[in-house]
Amino acid sequence: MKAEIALNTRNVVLYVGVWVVLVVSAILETIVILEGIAVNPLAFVTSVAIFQAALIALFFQHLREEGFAIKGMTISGGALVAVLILAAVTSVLTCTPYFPAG
Amino acid sequence: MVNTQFLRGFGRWLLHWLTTTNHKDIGLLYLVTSTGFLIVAGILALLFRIQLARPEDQFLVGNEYYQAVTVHGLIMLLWFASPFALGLANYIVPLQIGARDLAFPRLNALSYWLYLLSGILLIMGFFTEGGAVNVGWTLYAPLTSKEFTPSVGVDLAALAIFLLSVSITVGTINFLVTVAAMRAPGMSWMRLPMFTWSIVFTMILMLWAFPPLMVGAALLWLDRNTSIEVLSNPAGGALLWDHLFWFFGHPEVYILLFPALGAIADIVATFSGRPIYAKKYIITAFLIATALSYLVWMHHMFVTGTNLYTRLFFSITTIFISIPFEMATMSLIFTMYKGTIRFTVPMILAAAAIFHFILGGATGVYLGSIAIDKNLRGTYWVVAHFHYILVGTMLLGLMAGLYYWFPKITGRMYNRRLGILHIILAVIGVNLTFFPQFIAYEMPRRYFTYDNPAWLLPNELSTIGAYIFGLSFIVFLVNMIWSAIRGPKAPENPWGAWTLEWFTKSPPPPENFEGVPVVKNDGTVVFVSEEVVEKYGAEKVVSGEIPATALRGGGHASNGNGHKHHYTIDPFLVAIASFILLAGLALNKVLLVVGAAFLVFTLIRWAAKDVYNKFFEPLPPYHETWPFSRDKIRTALWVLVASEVMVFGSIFSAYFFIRFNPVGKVLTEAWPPGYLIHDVGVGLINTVVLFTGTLLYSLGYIALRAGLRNAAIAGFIGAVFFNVLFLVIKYFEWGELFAQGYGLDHSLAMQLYYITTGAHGLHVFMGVLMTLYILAKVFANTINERNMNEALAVGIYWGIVEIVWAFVFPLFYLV
Repeated sequence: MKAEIALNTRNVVLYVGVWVVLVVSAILETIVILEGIAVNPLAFVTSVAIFQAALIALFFQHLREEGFAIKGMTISGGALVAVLILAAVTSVLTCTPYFPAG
Repeated sequence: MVNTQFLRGFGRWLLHWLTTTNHKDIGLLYLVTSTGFLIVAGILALLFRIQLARPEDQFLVGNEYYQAVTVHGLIMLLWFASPFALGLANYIVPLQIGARDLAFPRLNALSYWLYLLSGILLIMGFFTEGGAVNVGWTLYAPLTSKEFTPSVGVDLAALAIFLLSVSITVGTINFLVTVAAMRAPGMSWMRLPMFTWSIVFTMILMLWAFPPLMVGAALLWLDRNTSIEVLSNPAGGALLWDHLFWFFGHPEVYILLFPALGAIADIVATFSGRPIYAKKYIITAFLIATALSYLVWMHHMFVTGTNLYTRLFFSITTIFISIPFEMATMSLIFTMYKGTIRFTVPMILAAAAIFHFILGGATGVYLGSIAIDKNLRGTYWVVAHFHYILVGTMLLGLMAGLYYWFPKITGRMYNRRLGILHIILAVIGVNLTFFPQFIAYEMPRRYFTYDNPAWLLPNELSTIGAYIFGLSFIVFLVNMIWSAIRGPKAPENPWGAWTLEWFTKSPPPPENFEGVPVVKNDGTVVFVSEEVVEKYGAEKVVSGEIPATALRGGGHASNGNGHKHHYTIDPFLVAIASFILLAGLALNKVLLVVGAAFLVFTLIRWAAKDVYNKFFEPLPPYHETWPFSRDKIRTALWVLVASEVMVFGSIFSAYFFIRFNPVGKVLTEAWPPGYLIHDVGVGLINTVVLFTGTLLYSLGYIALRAGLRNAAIAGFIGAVFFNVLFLVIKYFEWGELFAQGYGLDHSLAMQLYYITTGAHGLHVFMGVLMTLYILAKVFANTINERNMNEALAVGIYWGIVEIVWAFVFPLFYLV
């Protein structure tokens, strides 16, 4: 019983701790962007978002307790999204324009 | 009196099919329905083959021709091929893995009804004023925009594809969870038959290929019916559609091909009298092909103006992907080599399919070359190539599968003579239809007429071939129907095969097996009662360390897992409501309102039964589940999350595409930093609100696990409150933006903002409904240790909602 209470208390502290990190990181990234501190704002906010997503997945979604198959599936999905975005951006950045500028 | 009896009998028959959730019934429904769609699409093909038989004919021209070609393509690829394979998979996969049903029988029924009604939605276009969709099955933008194609047929097609994608996603989750968590004791992954393996790979492909199509279909509908012009804008909208469509479109080829190859592999092994040659390598080949299939889609876009290095990369991957299929083909040939081949109908048909696969595959490799593709693109060479794969390989392979499992499904044997006649006509038909199209390789596809005399003979031959193939199909249908009614009775295992489906009666009983099938370490199959498995443990049964008296040849499983609650009208009603809602979106606002109200009612009706665990069936503990969780709901939610990642990934790909589009910046407007438009403070507050909602849900879950009911209720109510608050803030934020002139008409940036936050808001709303469902269970005291993972699953869902927002907030509000 005591062990169970201790486990639950630890879990509550853990979840609240993750929440604090999420909220603080959101506030900090806002300040960094609005103050113009970030050298590459898009890369910076994307990195923060990936960090937050990892925290949420590992703790709120309990991904850390899942086996390699579920972890692999989740990571594969993310990797495919990256491939799609990368290809789409590359193609549009380097595509011969359909309509010349001007 | 007779009429009354007949009507009662008919009523019972109809009610059975409307309410069944048994995988074998659903499999039959898929097979019959997809065959119906095949007949529709086949007739359309025969019609336009008449038109093409002679130059400058006037039989079927203009809009009518385009409708026929477009609907033929869409139905064959989306409403016939995959669903026909799903029909076989529904019937056979649970039998092959030793399960009593799919993991979620009601969702399986829902998948089927959504599929059927989505097809009807597409075909309804023929009865509207402008006719059915007529822009080619690839639905290329900007031809699909209202400016160029005003007919409602395109709207119906977009909504039909959206509904079908929902059906496919639900089915994908079901199949993956079933194979992951419901294999019989001893049925390790390497012991799975090739057909089941092929379905696993098909489902993995569907899982990530269909979300971009679903998002694309939704964007298409929005483009046509609101001020949104993500696809129709001249500055890259067409290229964006290409990405979304072909990211689905090329894996779709393997989605269609894998089940046929899997069926062919099982057939070849059985009728060669030896296990499939180098099974490990053929599975590895499928795995490589699955992974690579997501890296080849841009070979469909070689002429879009993308840079040379990107094209080179996709050219290399395209040529490389032929290697795993060569491995698979060699494996099939080596299995036959020195085997004791029995020339049954399925075996001959499978051999014909392999021959066509070699021809179709070899002619496709050329198209991986950028230079050759530039010349052959949009010609009959491409048409011939993919029809050799789709008709010559996929269709004949699946038909071979149907012949092979026909005795198991119907309990009767097919007529061999009719079967041989079918094969002769089909092989002549396929080659006479499509080989001449290689010769007419310069002729452009999709044109309804031509004036080049050199193309006359190939087209004449092609049309004659098409009709011979049509005749072969009639022979096939007659054989199937006649044999199912009058064919000689089939024994349990007429082929002397060794996969698990042949170890039960033909047709199988509702629970599939009498007792629990166990695959022992030496590969033999025994049947035991559930009590024996529970008493000795699955491992001892598999290793044969139980007394011989514990083995049994009959008797049902004690708890009746998987067949106790097999009748419910709920899936049918939900599908009907969804159909009315989407039809209303395209045709009539009253229908829209009725459909929405009906959908809410049917969903509440469905959920109300689950609150009291009416259909709750935990998996028995003896199933093989490695390397997945023993809980099917938990695994299912993770598969759903994987799919959702790709749904939002597709939306974000549109975001980055438009944001980085240099042409767009010149032609339309630069993408202004988010903080110049949006109220960052409000966005940040909403971020904290959403994070807090998820935290409270997690705390509620911990309390629930600890048995602290009141604390759990407080946590879940808090989660609902904060998420509703999030939606309310979002509502006012949208209102404020519209009032300030930042509406849909403002810019592509704002359009993307509304699309992304709208889709996210919809997910928040669904999360609120799920949390209310869990709350209802807590209040009703129906959540316990056995179904606790339902609460965890909703938590996993909230996680993906929060993750999406972690990207939405900075990408739209800050930069």
